[in-house]
Amino acid sequence: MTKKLPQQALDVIERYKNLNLGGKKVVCPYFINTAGVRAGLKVMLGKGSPSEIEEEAILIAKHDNVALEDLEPAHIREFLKKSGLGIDCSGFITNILLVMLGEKKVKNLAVTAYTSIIRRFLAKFRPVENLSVQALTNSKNSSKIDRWQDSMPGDMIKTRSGKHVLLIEETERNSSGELLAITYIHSTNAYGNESGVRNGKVIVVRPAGTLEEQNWQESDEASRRNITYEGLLDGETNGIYRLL
Amino acid sequence: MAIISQSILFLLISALLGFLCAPVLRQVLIKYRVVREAKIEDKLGHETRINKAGTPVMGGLLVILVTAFITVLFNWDRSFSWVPIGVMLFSAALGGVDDLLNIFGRKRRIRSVTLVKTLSKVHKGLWGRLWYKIVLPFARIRGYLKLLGSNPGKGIQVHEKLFLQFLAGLATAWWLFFKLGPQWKLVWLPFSQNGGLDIGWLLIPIIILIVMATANAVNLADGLDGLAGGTLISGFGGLLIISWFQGNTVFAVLNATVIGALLAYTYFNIKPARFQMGDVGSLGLGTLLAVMTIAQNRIIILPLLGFIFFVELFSVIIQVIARHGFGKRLFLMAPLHHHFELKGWPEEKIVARFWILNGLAVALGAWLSLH
Repeated sequence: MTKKLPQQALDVIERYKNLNLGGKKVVCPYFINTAGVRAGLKVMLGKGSPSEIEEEAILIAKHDNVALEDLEPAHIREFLKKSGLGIDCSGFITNILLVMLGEKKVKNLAVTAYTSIIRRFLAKFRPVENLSVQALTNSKNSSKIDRWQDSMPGDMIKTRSGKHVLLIEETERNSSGELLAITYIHSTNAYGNESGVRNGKVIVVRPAGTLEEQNWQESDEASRRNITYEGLLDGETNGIYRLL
Repeated sequence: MAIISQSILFLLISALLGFLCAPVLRQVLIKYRVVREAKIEDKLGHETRINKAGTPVMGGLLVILVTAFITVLFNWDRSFSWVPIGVMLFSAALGGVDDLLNIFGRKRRIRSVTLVKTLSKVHKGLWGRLWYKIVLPFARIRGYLKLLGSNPGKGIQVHEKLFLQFLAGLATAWWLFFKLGPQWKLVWLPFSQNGGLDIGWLLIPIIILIVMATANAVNLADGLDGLAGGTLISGFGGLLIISWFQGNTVFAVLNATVIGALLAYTYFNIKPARFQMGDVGSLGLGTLLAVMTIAQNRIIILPLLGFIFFVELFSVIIQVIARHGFGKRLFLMAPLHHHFELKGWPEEKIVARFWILNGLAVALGAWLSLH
C-alpha cells in the first residue's frame, strides 16, 4: 500500500524537477542565500517557486543576451547557479507546503525568531523567506514523532542538527501496515553536479531498529557517498518531524 | 496676440541657435570622450542597449545653455528670471558633475551600515567609537536611499544628490514665499470660486518635494532615445499655453525658448541618437519644469504636464517597495519604459506612445487650467 503527497504537492515537485527553460527540462539547482540578504527578490534568495525561477531566468537571459534555446540542460543549470537562481532546502519545502496547506496556514507558521521587533514584523509579510529549517521544525510549528515507523507523506526529516531538511514524499507499507520504504525529496548542494532537487529512498531492513539503521539509498555517480545519510548521523535533534 | 507672436519668435530663434550649436557640441563631447560607457549599457542588458555604447552624453547641455543664453540676454527680468534660470543651472551643474564623474571618476568607497556598526563597537579610540555611533543613523538612511540609485559605485551618491536638490527646492520655495508676492501663496485649484487654497507654510515643504521629485522623474525617464526630450516639449508646451492665458510675457518667452531648444535637441536625440541628454539636461530641465509650474501657480496640474515622468517615477517607487518589502517583481524592470522594452516593444513604439499619452495629459491639464 503506497501513500503519497497530495497531487498538487507532487505537481510542484515535478515542476522543480522539470523547469522549462529554452524548451528544455532542467532540474532546479540548489542555491542558498549565504550573503544573508534580507530584503530582495524572493527568487534571488533561494526561495522562489518554479514559475518565479523560470521567469527570472528568462529575464536575466534577456539582460545578458544568453540564448537559453542554444544551451544544453547542464549549461542552463550552470547559468541558473551563476545567476543566483535555485532553491534551498527549507524554501523548497515551504513552497510545497504553500500548495498543500494553503497560503493562510503557511503565513500562520512561526517564522524565524529574530531579536529585532521590526525584523519580526516584516517577516510576517514574507513567510517563505523566513521559514528556515529551524523554524519549520521548532516546537511551535511541528513535533518530533516518537516512532519513525509511523512516518507518513508530508513529514519532514531533519538532518545535520537543523541545517538540512528532507520531505517525505511517499511511504510503502505491507498489508499489515508495516513500513517497507520511505521516498523523500529535498533540495541539496551535497552531490556536486547532481545537486539540486532530487529524491532518495530509505528501505526498511530492520523494522525494530532506529531510522539510522535502515538502508539509505542516495549517492552521486562520482563519490558514491550518501551524504544525506551522513547528515542524519550528525546531531541529536535529527529525526522525523510532523507539522502541528 | 503680441505675447503669442513674441513667444513664437523666441521659439524659432532658440531652435535655430540649437540647430547651429548641436553639431559643435557633439564634436566637443566626442573629442573629450564624454560618451556612454559600454559597461553601463551592458548592465542594462539587451541588444538594443548595447548599440548605444559610445553615444555622447551631456547633450542636454544644448538646451540648458541655449535657454540660459537667450534668457539672460533678451528676456531677463529680475523678479521672474533669477530663480528659474539660477535653479536650473544649479541642478544642471549637479547633473553635469555626476555625468562626468560617472565617466571619468573613480569608484567611491562608501562605508556600509554593517561596517559603521562594527566600527562603532571595535574602533580603537573612544572618540572614534562615539563618532561612528553618531553617524550610524545617517549610514542607515544612506543605505535605504541607495536602493533608489542605479549606479551607486561612481559619481554623486543618491543621498548627496537629494541633499543638493533639496537646496534647489528650498531656493524655489524661498523665492515664491518671500519674493513673488501674496497672490503666489494661494495654491490655484481648478473650478475654485475663491481663487485657490491657502495652505500657509506647508507650501514650503510641498515645493521642495515637488522640485526634487520632478527633477528625479525626468532623470529616470531619460532612458530611451527621444523620450525625455519629446515629453518635455509637450510639458513646456502646456506651460506656454497657460502663460498665454495668464498674460505673463516673461514666462511665455522663457517656456517658448525652452521648447525651441528642446526641438533642436530632440531632432538629434531621436533614434539613433546623436547624443543623449545626460543628468545635466534631465536634472536641469526637470527642475525647470517644476519651478515654472510652481511660478505659474499650477502645481496641481504638474502630474499632468509631466505625466509620463511621474508614471516612471512611481513605477520605480512601486518596484522598490514590491522588491524589498514583498520580495516580488511587479514590473519586469523599472522604470516603466524598460518593462516594455523587455516585453519586446520596439524603442520607437514606446517613445511614440509615451509622447502621445503625455500630450493627452497636457491637453487635459491645459483645459483644467482654464477653469
